[in-house]
Amino acid sequence: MAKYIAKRIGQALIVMFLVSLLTFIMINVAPGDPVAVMLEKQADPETIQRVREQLGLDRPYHEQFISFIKGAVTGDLGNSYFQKEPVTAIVGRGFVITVQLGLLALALSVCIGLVVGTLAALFRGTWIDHSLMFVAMLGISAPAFWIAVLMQLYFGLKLGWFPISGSEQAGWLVMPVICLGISYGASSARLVRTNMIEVLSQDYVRTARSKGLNEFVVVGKHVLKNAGISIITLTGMQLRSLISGAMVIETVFSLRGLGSVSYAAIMSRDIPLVQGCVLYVAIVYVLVNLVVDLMYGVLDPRIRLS
Amino acid sequence: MKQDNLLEVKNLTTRFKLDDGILTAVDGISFEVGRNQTVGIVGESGCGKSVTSFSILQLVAPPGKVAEGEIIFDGQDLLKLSKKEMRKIRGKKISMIFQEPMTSLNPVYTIGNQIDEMTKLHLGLDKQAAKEHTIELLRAVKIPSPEQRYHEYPHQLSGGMRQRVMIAMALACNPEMLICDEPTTALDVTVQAQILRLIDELKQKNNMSVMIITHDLAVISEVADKVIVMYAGRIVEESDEKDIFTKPLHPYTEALLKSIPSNAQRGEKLFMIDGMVPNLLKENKGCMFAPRCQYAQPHCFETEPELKTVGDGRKVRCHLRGEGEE
Amino acid sequence: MGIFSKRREMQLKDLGFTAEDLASRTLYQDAWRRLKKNKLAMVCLFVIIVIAIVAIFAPLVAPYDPFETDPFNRLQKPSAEHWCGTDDLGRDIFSRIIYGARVSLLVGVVTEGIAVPIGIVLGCIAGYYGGWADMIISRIIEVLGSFPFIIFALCVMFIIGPGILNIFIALGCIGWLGHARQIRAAVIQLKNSEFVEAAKASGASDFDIIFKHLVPNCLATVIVVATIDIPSDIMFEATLSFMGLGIQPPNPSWGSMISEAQDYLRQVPSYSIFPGIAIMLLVLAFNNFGDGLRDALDPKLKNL
Repeated sequence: MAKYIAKRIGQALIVMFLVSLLTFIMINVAPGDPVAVMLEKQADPETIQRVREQLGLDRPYHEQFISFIKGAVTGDLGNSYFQKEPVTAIVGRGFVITVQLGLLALALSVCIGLVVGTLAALFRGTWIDHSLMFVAMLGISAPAFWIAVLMQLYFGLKLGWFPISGSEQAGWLVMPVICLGISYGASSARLVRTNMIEVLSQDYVRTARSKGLNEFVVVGKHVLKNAGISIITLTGMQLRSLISGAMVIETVFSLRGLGSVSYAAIMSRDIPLVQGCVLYVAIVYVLVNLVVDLMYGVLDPRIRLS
Repeated sequence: MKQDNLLEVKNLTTRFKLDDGILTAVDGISFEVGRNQTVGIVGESGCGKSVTSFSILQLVAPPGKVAEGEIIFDGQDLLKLSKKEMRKIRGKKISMIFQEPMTSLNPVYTIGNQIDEMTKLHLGLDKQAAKEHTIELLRAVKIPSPEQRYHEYPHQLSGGMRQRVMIAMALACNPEMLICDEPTTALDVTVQAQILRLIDELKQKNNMSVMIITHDLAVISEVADKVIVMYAGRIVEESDEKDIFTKPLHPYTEALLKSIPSNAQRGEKLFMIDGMVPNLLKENKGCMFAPRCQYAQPHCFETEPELKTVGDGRKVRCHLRGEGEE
Repeated sequence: MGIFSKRREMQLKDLGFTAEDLASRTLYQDAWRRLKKNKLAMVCLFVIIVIAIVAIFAPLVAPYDPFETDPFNRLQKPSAEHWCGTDDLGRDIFSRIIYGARVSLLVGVVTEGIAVPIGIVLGCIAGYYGGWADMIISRIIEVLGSFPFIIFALCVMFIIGPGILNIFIALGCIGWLGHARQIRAAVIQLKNSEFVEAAKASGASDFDIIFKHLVPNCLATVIVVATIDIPSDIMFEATLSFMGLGIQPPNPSWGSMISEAQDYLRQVPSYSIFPGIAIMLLVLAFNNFGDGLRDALDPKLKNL
């Protein structure tokens, strides 16, 4: 098990390094000079040159990249070009908002998925199954940002229950979490259903029934734990796209999360800030994958004991 | 013997509602299992023998359903019981061993947990008593170091060991009847004999009735008191005597016997039954076996023969066998 | 021997077997037969075809010019003249939705048109040759796959600028990952099968083996994955356009219409509702049809 964890961490570090490298290359390939953007084109060439030197942009690319990696390891990602603040502080603030939103939405999505998916699987082929899956399909097919707009319209403007933008008023998280949760809950309901149906058809479920166990024990004990293994893997994969989804929803509700921060950073060519954002998101990914792998080990003795 | 039947199956019919139509997997079969008797049910895959056994315990998975018939166990019609009453029969009165020991045990729970679960439920044992009982059972099925195995997971055991665990689990509550669905098919030849002997031994010790379902006549020949041959959802031959092996009545039984490798003469080509099992989704006319039968007569394709008693209590479903024939 | 088999065949026919039962049908005929039985999938196919026809003949179908502004009829509620109302420039929303269908359908088709060939080639190379080629391609898939899509899209759109062509590039860059992964797995499985061994033994080149034997056998998988990916491509385009990175004004796109409507939520809620319904309808149709196609062609892929 220790070896397994070490291997996963090693792989994760490689992926993070490659992600940073890729971001660095993309940012530098992009046309337009950040210094020119910064100084709004009025500056004379000498000033531009001076600022470039200050920011270390005159150094060769590989040196710039190495100093970024060094900084990343020691927790110093430099200062933002435009907001005169350390990158870690800006990204950190956005990170808190996005992670709150993401985790709460994930929790909601898993709850919806488990309840709806299990019910549909147990009543497979009946009208209960068909109507639940139809609603789930509607949820998958409606864009999350549109659900967000509809919720703003009804619960925000018409009923006035929740604020429709910003994170200052109480209850600001409710609508973003619900619309993300519904959107992802719909697709996890389908995944749960498929996996439950597959497990329900396994020989050991028949064995459990042949022992005279009641259906509650058969499903609750024998089916759920086995289905859980694949459901957790799929939930982990879903969490990746949920991070992207959260970043889009942030823009609908004008939240200053990672999504808005990185959007603004890319638009303004704030290289340290972009790299910081990508690094933070990559860390989240890696952590998610690690947690998923470990959960997998806990649930499945075949992995735990090998 | 006749009066003391533990199980009487009467006119059992099980159907599957599929997308392409209704498949009648078991078509009006009747048979009896006496107390302490071992009955073997033989047939090719898809002949309905496994569905028969699932029907008895009402474990047929949807879209399958027992359509009609009676299953009288110890004087009670199992088909008339409520779900709750049926659960008290399963595992307690009638136990079952399945074909695939690899997949029939839940991979995420220990062996001990899976056997304890049963004795806690049916015998009301507490945790400690259940554990002791389980270890005793594991010892009875000759699993070495049972105390250690108790804490192991199915994937840590070999196929033969897993099947022993399945047997131990099936016997946990001293059932009156044990149904074995292809108990040895997935196992090595050397292990097969051991498992069969074990089942036979435990049957004697526990005074059980046993129903063995298999496609392999050799398996039956060792242990069965009565043999039932099934084809296309019907019983085609039933014989109390072991002379089904020396003097088969139905051409299908004959063909099955001929296709056992050990029965073939040296240098002789191994016998194969031509053609395929009829499509049970279609309306079939005449004897189901006629298209593959080497003795088939024109009228075999017209009317389906009845299952009739021949000679000393043997039954056969064939036009070529007259009543009272020796 | 011939006589006997003839006799047997006749007997089988007597038993109610038709020639159709005995001849093995091809995979695709079989799949089509199954698909035709799936009513929901067929209804969805019909909806897709109707939307496609409307999109192609948009100038004939649309009641108004989608670009024509009308300062006197700004932000109208739905009425007999303007079925879905008008936008902030007085343009007819219904006509803009019809023109928007062109963008959405084009995105789906073109993106898969880019993604499928790349996925097939790289997937086959990785699966067939293994070793270093597999190592490199699998790492690329992993790194690109672990990149938050939205950041990747932001970067790509920023490097090459917004616009429909660039959306295709951004989506194509990511879209091939899934295809490559599936095909790699399928090729690894097929590589050691008898028919490939036989082709090798008869001296076929690697190119022949890949394109004559392996690719045709993965085709069902490719079709299913492509159909299931189309709705997510449509969704991505809508999202990018919603964020202002996709289709640029004045061209209509469902996503950008919802974004424009956000400023007028209080005045005309219908402005944001109709384009969303259009997205949902098209995506719903593709999703259900894709599900049906998958069940008919390749049930193994049920977790997609």
